[in-house]
Amino acid sequence: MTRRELLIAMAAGALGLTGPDAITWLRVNFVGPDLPAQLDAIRADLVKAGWLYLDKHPDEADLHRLRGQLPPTLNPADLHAAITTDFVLGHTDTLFGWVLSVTELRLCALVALSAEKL
Amino acid sequence: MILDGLDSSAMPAPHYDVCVVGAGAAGITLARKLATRSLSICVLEAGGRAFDQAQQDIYAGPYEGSFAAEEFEYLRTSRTRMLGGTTNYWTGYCAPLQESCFEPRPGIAPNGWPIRAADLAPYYPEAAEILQITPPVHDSDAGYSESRKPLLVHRPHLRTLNFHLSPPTRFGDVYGAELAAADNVHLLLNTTAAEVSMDGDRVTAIHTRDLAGNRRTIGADHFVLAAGGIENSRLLLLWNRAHGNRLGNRHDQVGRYFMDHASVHMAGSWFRELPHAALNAYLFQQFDEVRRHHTKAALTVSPEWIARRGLPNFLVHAGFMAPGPGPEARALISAARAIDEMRGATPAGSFPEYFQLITEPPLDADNRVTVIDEPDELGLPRTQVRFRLPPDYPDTCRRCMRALVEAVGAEGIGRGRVYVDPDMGRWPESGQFTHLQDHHNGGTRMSTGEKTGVVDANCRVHGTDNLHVASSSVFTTGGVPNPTFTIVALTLRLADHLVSA
Ligand SMILES: Cc1cc2nc3c(=O)[nH]c(=O)nc-3n(C[C@H](O)[C@H](O)[C@H](O)COP(=O)(O)OP(=O)(O)OC[C@H]3O[C@@H](n4cnc5c(N)ncnc54)[C@H](O)[C@@H]3O)c2cc1C
Repeated sequence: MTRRELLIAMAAGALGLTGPDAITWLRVNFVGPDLPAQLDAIRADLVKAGWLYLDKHPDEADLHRLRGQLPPTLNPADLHAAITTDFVLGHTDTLFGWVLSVTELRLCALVALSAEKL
Repeated sequence: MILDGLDSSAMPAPHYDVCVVGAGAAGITLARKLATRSLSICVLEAGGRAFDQAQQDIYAGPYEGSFAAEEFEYLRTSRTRMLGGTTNYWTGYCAPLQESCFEPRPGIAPNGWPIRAADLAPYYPEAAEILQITPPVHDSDAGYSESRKPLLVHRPHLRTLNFHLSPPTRFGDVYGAELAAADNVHLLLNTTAAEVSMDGDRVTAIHTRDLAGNRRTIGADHFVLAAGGIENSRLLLLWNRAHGNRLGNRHDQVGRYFMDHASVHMAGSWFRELPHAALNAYLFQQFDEVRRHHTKAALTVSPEWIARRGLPNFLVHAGFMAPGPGPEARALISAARAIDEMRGATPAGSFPEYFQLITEPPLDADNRVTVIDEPDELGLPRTQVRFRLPPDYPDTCRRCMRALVEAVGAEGIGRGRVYVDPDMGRWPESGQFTHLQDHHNGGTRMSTGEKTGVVDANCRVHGTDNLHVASSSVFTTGGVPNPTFTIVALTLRLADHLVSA
């Protein structure tokens, strides 16, 4: 698996979290001892970014709602299109001065909430 | 021929085809151009060949507005009263006014200019030559060798705006000798245009003053005010006092809509796919190996992007900034990078910067040049300028910066930060983040009718037959680029109009 595929899988796991299979999958793939240290750090940053967003928008701390607001698949083209559209339409949020797309922040929030459930 | 007005024996002719007031960028351009058409021309220049503090003090006057630190010195220090005018001190940044600046835009410039960018475009190549830069200058990638072009950001949403750097041309030094050698040009130094005589709608003569107490009267078929962005308004205000507001002021328009470019320092940063060296084009002047002059790149967003967000035109110059991101921001950057990786964009190293933001100046009829009762050294009422930015201007700046960093995100080349210093809350009163750029636009703005401006599409003063204005005082909107390139282009267009008249 390439690094990029792993990242996508991690987020995809978060998306499918409600199913017990996905939880198992995530456990095996992402909290297991052989997770590369670098990926672990990135996951930690996604979680942190997600909580920064959820702290600002506590009403969004709902897995079902978040899932509904994200592209149904995490296929790179759909993700890219959603994020680009966000920026074009100004669907962005500012955290610590950084202007990020709402889609990417919700994705982080989903990973953060998923991590909590694990 | 050059004559010194302080010499009482200097005798200009009693009548000329054209009398030009002022020998700066506009006045010298016009005189040179008309001289080639065998017209007799008199150029009145208030200053002498060299800088003289006594002359400069005549420019002093009160300032009222957002830039507290500049209160007492703005009028005296932002322009130069000598042969060549303010080009004796200008920096030489040249770029044409963007097309959209001419168009009507709700909330930004309801009426637009009475001319379009296409009317001016044919004059920029010759203006470039006069300013000693090599045309063409419209294609923002042109001028970079093929190997360096890909380093410039020029994408659907994010644009590079290239400034072409004049040496900078000092008009008095570069073109003074040519005027001195021209038999059909009389350049009268140390001579200030003070009053006019009129016959109906025609100006028949200008009456001059100087520091030695000499008075002269110059008659001409056509008169052109080229005394600089502020002084054009001042002279028209003075002349309107004596002539019942007949010179473009029946609707109290002279002096109004004065504009300058505020340069606002905003912190920010982005990470991007470009190699570090690519940013040099945005940080430093670069030698253009194709055209053999220097350029400096600035960033902006596409016209569609600006229109969709209802923003004024703007650009940013990049610079270095000391503080890097804190721990929370580091997590956000890292997360966004990971997501960029997932979506196939290619982020690279982060680069903290500050941005110098310049927006199109807001249009405000109450920002204006007026005259006050206090007389200057020649006995003429001094000038006062009010230039205040609207209370929501900091918000406009933030919205522009946000649009820029959103464009960075849309292009998939990074994310941007708009950092608002806590002191920014007191902006602009704190005076910490801003300075004016000394671009004196508006005051005798171009308009289709006399209710909304002072000159028509040919720069003729409304209500007069033969009085025209050259300089950035005629700008209907200020645009973003520095004004002189457009001043020279507009003056060349005016020369064509005068010749055909
Ligand atoms: C520090 C500085 C940096 C600048 N940098 C840039 C830049 O990088 N790019 C850019 O585009 N612009 C720049 N500018 C602005 C630029 O200098 C002006 O846009 C340009 O000089 C305006 O030309 P002008 O002919 O309209 O006026 P001026 O050059 O000011 O000339 C007006 C002339 O009229 C004369 N005059 C005034 N009143 C009278 C009177 N009553 N009778 C007779 N003569 C009179 C004056 O003595 C003067 O010679 C800068 C300005 C400053 C101060």
